[in-house]
Amino acid sequence: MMIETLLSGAIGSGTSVLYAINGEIFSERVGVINLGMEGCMIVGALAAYAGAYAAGNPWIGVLCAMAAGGVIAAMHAYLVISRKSNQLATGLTLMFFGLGIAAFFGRNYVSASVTGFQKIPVPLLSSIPIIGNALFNQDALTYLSYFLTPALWLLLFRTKFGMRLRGTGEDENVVYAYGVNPTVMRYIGVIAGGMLSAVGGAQLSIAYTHTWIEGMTSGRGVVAVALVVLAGWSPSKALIGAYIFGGAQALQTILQQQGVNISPFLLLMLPYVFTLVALFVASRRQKQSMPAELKKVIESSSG
Amino acid sequence: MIEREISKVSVMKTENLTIKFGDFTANKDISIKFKAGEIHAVVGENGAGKSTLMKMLYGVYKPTSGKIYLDGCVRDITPSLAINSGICMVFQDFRLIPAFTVLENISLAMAESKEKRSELKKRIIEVSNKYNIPVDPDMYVWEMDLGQRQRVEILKGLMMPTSRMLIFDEPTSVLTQKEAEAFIELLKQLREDKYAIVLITHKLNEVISCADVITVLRRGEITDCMRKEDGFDKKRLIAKMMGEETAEKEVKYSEAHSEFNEEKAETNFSCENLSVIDDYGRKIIKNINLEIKKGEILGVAGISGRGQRELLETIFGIRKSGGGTITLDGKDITNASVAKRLEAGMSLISEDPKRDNVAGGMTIEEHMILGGIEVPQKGLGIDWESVHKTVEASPVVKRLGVPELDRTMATLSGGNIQRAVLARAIIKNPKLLLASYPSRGLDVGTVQMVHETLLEMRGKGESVLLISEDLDELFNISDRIIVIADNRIYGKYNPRETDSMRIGEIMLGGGKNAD
Repeated sequence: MMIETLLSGAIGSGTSVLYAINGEIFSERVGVINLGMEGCMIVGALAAYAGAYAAGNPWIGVLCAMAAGGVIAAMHAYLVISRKSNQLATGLTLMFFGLGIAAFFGRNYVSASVTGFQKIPVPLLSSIPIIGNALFNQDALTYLSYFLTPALWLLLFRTKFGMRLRGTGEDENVVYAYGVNPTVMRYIGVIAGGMLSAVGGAQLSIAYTHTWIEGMTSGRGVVAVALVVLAGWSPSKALIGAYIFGGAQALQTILQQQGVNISPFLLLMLPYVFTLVALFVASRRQKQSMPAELKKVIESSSG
Repeated sequence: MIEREISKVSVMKTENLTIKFGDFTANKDISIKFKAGEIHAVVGENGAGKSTLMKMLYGVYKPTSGKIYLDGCVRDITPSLAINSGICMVFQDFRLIPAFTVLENISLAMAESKEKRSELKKRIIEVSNKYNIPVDPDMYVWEMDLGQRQRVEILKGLMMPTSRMLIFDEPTSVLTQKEAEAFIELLKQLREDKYAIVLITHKLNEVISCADVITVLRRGEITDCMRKEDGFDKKRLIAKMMGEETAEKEVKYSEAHSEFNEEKAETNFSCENLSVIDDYGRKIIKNINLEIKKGEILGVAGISGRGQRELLETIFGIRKSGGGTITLDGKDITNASVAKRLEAGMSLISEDPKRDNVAGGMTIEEHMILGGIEVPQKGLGIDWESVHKTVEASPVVKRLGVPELDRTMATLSGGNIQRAVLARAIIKNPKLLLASYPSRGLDVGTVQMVHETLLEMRGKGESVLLISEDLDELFNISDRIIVIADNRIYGKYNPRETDSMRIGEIMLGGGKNAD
């Protein structure tokens, strides 16, 4: 029973992070680090909530989230690609901008209630012992994420378009020489990434918790940026990081409910400690897969 | 009507092409014709404007004035027009993405093609068989050495459906002698298939052996154009390339070497059972037992990427060794820090000085006291005036033509960085100079200066460990040669008693071909 709750919680809580990791992968694959993913997620969470509230349809909420997250990401894209501002500084600032603006517009929604996504059990599959309930008694956005991850992998690694995206993140001069406009590719990657993260935010507000709370993403967007490294910049491995984080989150809730005698403040740290450990374990072998243009970003920021 | 006739013969033609960067005229009044089925070599020193010219032909640079004709029509060339018109450039710094496989790189280049991966792969294998360019389509480019990367680059050009003109920028500089010979054969085969081939190089022997036309550039202008029918005259080529006076001077290599006596000379540097570890923790060279005498230039031959860089870094102490001892001038420095080794008299010129040896924002003068000359004190600070005087007065600095001392490294061209780094390494009279490709990126005149400088160091009893990919260079100035192959060191060989064929065989075949 407890394992089932843990798994179910891991997936429910990890899905939002999964979207955000995939979003950040898109951005970093074109050579742009977006530390503002947290901002994209939180405005996504609010826009989804507000959209679902106004329209009474959670899918409208998702579209609103994508639009809002896309706008934040577009600001990042314009500043760092067209204005050549520092990626790390810009991203951090946009994160706080997103948190602030969501808090401002969200103050009226704190006590509102919406029709969000409900859990839809898949017949037969959901009755598989232990994993059935966790995997196949979920909301629509979670099911979508199951398909999205392989789809994004195919897009990045098996299509010409994906190759151009990745090529832009590896060496913009090379793709330019083949008639690809790296600026356009970067805008696409960054904005699409922001939209994906915002869907993660939407999953949090209108599918997982069905509430709007100020700062409800609680660092998931930032953690996602870190977990991209764990995923080796590949959607196929994004699942691992996302569910480690989600699992720790679920474990923390379960431990609190069991009345374990540990300070809740320490328990709340658990997911982040897990993330750090995962990064520590993975840190040795990640250099090879890092998109080459990102190295330039890091070098120019420290120099 | 007349124009149509031209189009039958010349793929591309320029008329009075001139390009200026600010006040600097990089190319002036260049009129040149490239025809199908012809190998057209463009030779000139570094900075003569060869690469700039090629970049104009490919549309990377826009000419300030003048015209470019493509099939007889004036065109405004852009890289994508060039690609679509079948003009392919094999850049010196290959345009490949290391994180991609060969297949992915080629597919990225074929913007228009609708081929599936499997079809493309099949075609890669077909073309590579036809021209005898062995390449594994699924190999990652980062796993390849420079020679293999070049083959991918060439293959990429040949795969283009309309490809008919290939421009090579210094193609053989990354190849071993054998590979270079195979490359020349490939060029001849392509000529038979009616490709127009443009070859930019400063290796005159190669050019003379295969070119149909040679155009000489000097200081951005054409100084000569010869056709094969009229016979190529190497002396005249050199004179036209470097100006009459410089060409007169030639280093007297054979005279400089008469004195070295291996038996009598004192040992300066030695290592015992030294193992060298690469970036992935593998032993790339095992159990090196080596002695370098005072006044010896020891040349290191080997295919690039066989551990040359790692060897120098291990001796210099910036790379952890895999065991063994190192001694310099009688002192055991196995565990000494880099600072101690510098103090003990080592100097390093890295294979990529821009990456390893210079800090872009600092001036040449500041670099001179970073591991160069001793720092004169003035109160608590540095006596810059005295630094300036010492450096200015140094014959090495003058001879190598180091640019103004207050310029920052970031503003210098590759050749000038090389000059500054060389000067710094030599100005302190090191006991042991570890030099990787010291003449890379320098023009013929400066290369001679470098060789003279190295020979002079040798005369003073200083030792040089010289890594080079140019066997001629190794044979000319080394007293002894060692070869890296099969993760170990072969030799020493006396270059006066062996020949480059033999060394080449060991480089490629390792143990099988050694004694």
